[in-house]
Amino acid sequence: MSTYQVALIGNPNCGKTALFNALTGSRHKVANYPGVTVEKRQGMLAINDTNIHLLDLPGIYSLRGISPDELVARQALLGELANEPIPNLIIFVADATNLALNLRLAIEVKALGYPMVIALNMMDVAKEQGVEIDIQQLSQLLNVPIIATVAVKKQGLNELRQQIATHIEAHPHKPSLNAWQEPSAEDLRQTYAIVDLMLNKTVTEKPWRHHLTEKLDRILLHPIWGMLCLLAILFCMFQAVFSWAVVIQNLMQTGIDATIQWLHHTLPDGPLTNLICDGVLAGVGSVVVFLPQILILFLFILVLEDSGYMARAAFLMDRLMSKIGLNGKAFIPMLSAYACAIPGIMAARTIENLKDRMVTIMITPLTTCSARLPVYTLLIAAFIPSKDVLGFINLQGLVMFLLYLAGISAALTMGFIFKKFLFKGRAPLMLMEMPIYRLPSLHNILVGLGERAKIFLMRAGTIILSVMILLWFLSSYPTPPASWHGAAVAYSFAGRIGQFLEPFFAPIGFNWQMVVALIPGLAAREAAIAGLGTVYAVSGNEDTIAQSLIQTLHHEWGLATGLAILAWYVFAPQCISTLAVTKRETNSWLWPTVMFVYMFSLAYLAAFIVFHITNYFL
Amino acid sequence: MQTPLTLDQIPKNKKAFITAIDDRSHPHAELSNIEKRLLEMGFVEGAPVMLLHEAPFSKDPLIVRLRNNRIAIRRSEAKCIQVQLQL
Ligand SMILES: Nc1nc2c(ncn2[C@@H]2O[C@H](COP(=O)(O)OP(=O)(O)OP(=O)(O)O)[C@@H](O)[C@H]2O)c(=O)[nH]1
Repeated sequence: MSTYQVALIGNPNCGKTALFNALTGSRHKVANYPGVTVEKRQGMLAINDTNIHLLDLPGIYSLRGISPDELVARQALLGELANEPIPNLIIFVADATNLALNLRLAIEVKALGYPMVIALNMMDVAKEQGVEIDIQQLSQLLNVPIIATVAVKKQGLNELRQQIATHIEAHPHKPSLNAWQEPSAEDLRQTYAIVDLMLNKTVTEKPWRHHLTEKLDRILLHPIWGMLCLLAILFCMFQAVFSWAVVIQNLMQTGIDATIQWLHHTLPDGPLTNLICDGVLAGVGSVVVFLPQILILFLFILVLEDSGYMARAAFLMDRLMSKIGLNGKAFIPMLSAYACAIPGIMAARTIENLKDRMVTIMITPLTTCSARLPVYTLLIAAFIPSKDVLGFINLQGLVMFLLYLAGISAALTMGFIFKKFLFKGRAPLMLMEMPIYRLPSLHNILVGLGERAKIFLMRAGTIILSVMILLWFLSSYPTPPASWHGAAVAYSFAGRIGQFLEPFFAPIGFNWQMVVALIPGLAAREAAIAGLGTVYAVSGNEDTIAQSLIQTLHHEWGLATGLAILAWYVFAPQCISTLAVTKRETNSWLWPTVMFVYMFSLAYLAAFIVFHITNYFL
Repeated sequence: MQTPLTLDQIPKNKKAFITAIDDRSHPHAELSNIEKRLLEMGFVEGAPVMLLHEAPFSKDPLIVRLRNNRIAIRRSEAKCIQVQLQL
């Protein structure tokens, strides 16, 4: 058995990843906007005893490699990476509804000297549009085999596999490449002219309009309604996150509490029981109950992404973003960061200008990632009364929305400052395709939710679990001598660390229990909640254990402290993985350091202001 | 000489086609390689275009229809695309 490398390449949003998934059975993210795939991905498929490495590459408009994601594709095709072999064969994925553009690129890629197969994708949409293509003749004119495919319905895959098999026999060795020469503007025009000639002979198009897209755009891009819709969509998202999940969440919480009680009664008293109950269940459990909320948030984001709305949001936000010197495209990483800052920072690769990318990376962690959700929810439940404002808006949901708004405003303000002082530069271009609206695919959404649930539970089971066990030890040992008055936890290592740091945090109203909980919050933000769960469970007597964490916090902290920690978490220094990704993407230790310092200062300042203002008015 | 009509000036929903791509008036024509970028996105002489939407508030950027696709583009770049209305 030998291995053979095949690369998928094409314009953005033509369905490469959908095809990759269909061929290899993987579940990589597919969504309806240009620039979803920003890195190279490998998968395996076997055809007639040959193992094939299939490579999925980011979409490109040319081989010039202007933005970092395009550069990845260029390097893979031109063999510019020292230890990476070039592919044996290229599958050029072309969007059948946008042939002029796609075939122009196909000709540029083919000139490199690769054997090539064209997968003419989106054939279902083309049919619907009344585009008729004489595939056989087109294939002769281009001198490339063409296979019609519908990646999302797995049509045309067998023919494609067949073609790959034929190619393996015909070209068993790596091709020898021609040097790539950047086409001049005149070259580009000439290629278009050649493509036009081919298309005139082989394609008949009816005048066509996508009525759904036009109707929706008339509302969603309307100068007034469009903006209102964007706000309304975001607002609904946060209301839903807050109110829909509560029922399931309460059930889960009741279940966990009952389990803890039951274990306390059945297991023999001792450190192990305490570890399981107070450390593992109270800590990890307090995080796991947020799964429903996170899934609802993701449901919204996935629907926005797969319907085609994301690109519209970028368009609507372009003006605002250009005020801070960025372009609307930077809004997509920021929206993705609502899920998690890490894919958000990676998505910044689609931004071509280095300085703009740096600014986007630096401010992305200020958008409210889903790991902050548990923290917000818990604190809101403890300190904000659940009543209706104006009769229909839930006050808790409203506060949640305001916290998100504070995050995005802070991101925009910081973006402005960074752009003005650190990364000055000319205004970037905004050129972006607006895909047609599509009914989000149930499959894509379920796969996306499944992946997210898996990641979330894995985190709870690994990082958070180990941090909790460690924290439990630190807050349970050493045990105080008999003469010790007061809570045992105050005598422990954790208690001492907390008390040592307390003076620094006292001006912003934090007590030492909170300080202890903030430290695991660095490993993963939601671990701060677990930390509070553990610290208060350890320090509690039988009565307080029976109380929920919400009630405990409500009794232990004043309103000012509660609001101060909410403000803190709007800016809170991000988790370590975010800093690590920043290091990787910027290739320097400087920027993660700057990021940590500036966010820490903002958080401290915000908590300070909120704490003192609240105290002043109460 | 009359200044040529450009993509940012035509009325909405009127059919037009591209007559020239000319980035000489663009402030960053050289640095950003505007002409090539536009060509690579499919803006080429002869292609049918139509102005569809203007963004809220400032009426910038625009969404234009290019053949059967929609593309968001700022006015500054749309100025480099000369067009002629179809009668
Ligand atoms: N109707 C239809 N939709 C398709 C087909 N192939 C892909 N799609 C959809 O088109 C969108 C884009 O698909 P992706 O696979 O993410 O495209 P991509 O080429 O990997 O995109 P980039 O990562 O941006 O380069 C998704 O919403 C898919 O569900 C197809 O053959 N027919």
